[in-house]
Amino acid sequence: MNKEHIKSIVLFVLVICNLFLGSEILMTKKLWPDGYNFFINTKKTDWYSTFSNFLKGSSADDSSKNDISKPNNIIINTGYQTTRIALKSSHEKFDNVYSVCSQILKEALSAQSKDWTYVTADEWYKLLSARSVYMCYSTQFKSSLFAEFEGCKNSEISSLMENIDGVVVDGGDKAGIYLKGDDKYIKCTLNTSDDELSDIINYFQQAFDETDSNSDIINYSFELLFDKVLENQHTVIESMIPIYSTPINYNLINADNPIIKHDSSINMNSVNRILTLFDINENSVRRYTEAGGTMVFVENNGTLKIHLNGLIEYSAGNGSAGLKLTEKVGAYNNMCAAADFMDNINEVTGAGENMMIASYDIAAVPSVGMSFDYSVDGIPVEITSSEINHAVEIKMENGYLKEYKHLLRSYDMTQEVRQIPLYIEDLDKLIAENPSVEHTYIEKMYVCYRDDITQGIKQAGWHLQRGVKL
Amino acid sequence: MYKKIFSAVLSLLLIVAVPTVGFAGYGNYLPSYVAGNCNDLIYIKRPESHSASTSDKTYIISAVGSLGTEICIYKQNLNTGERYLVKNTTQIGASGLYSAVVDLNDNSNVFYVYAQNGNREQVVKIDINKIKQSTVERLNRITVTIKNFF
Repeated sequence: MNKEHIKSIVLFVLVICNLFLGSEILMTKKLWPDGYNFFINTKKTDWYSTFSNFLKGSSADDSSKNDISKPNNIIINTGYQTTRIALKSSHEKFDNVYSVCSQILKEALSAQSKDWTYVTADEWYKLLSARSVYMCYSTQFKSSLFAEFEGCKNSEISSLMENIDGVVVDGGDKAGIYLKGDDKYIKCTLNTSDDELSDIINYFQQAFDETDSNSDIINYSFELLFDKVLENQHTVIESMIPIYSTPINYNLINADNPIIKHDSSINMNSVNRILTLFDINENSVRRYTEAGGTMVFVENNGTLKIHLNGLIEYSAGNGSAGLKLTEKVGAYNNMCAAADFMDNINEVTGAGENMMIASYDIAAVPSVGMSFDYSVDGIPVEITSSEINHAVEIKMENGYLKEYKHLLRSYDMTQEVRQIPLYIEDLDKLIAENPSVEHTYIEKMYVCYRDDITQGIKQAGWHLQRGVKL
Repeated sequence: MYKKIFSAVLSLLLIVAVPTVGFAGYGNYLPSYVAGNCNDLIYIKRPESHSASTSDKTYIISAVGSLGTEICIYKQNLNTGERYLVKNTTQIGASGLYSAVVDLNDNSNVFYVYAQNGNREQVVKIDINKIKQSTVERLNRITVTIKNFF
């Protein structure tokens, strides 16, 4: 072997080393200077996410953003209280019913404002006692935003009604939509027939007739007149709350913290993946550990804390824009980006993937203030802790994440079945605990699991929320 | 000696029986002479006019009352006139709300809601007429025809 050959081999090895170490620095360690993070900026573009979704083969329907405007419960009104049924989002027929109703809803939202008429509350209530489908939402929506989520960006609905908090699909001869918001009611009758919806209502009615079951008898509060105040009545229940007159069965669930491994050590893989999502370079970030074991990461755009109980807290620093999640503007795009970000965190940590929107701050629009709860078997999980009110709490402005809290949890359903006491027992307890309060207005009442952010078995009960109206 | 044993057994029976009878009001049957001595213990919310018609298999009676009032529901046997217990005694809690599901027979159903609080008692008669589903559908058709006419 002559000298020239040796030189060539050395040169070749050096070139290989250069390529390997360069890719380590750029791709894995991300040791590029601020302002030159080309790859991260590229990841936030639309074409990248479209391409990435295509490669993953993931269905868009799986993401939480597609569930934002989905009802958390659908009540099929057959015209009879005995056969009225409430479908949780986990029910096998839920998606089918929602798809049929959503189609009619889209058609109505695309209609011109002159096709809508204002109706009285009585007409709305009558429809709920007849053949119809009521879609219950956990939060109120800006009507323009609601229409955008339903795929009708240019809807004229906002000129008639500012906010929407309930939708009823008429199950009569002609398809029609009734909307409720801020104590106003409007309807749009379409020229198409709704045979498909009628078949669905018939299906549920027949299913009940065949089983001859008297379980889960549901009435709305207005049917029992619990929404009307009498002289000696101290408790009023919001008119659209479904009242279950028979006890409800549920399965116990088991809560797990995915940040802590089974041998009680911290899952550093999950921690590193979280850092990546927050654009934090694990090699260059300033970090320290607090007395309780909380890991704190300080970067230019904000501070991230990862608590050992599974709580992640991020806040943009003073004067900092925060973490950029999307380049698009507007509440709709901001909410979608926030929901995607939440899904990504759940995905990389193995936390529960079924989320349902819990609240949405209408006053904050076009900024975003919203929260999500985990959902197990279609039942929301209520977080009962002073540290956090919902599983995820998000604040965003102009595409930048300002504040973010996320309690990482994964839930497994056990085979153990329990019964929830009647709503009235919990209501009595709530009022007895506050004897000084003379009048109580119950704004929200639904079944939920309760998680005190400890690990282990969790039970279900009634969520009772007071309001100010009476 | 026998007298002492007899009176001891009698006393024991009384001790056991009195609270049971007192708690359950009139027990499994409501005598027809009981009409109550007041009308402000409870207020029936549903049915609002104390009578209703439905084609449903069940009906929910709702009411409001003051804390501690005990409520039970009797149903009248239309052949014998006997009023028998269909809903056990429930005590109204701090919310003041009460609701109970009752099963319906075909045609006429007469219920008596019995409420008691100390010495005060109230009886409210409720008539629920169960009509056949076909009758409801016929009525609906007539309503539609009238609407079309106008």
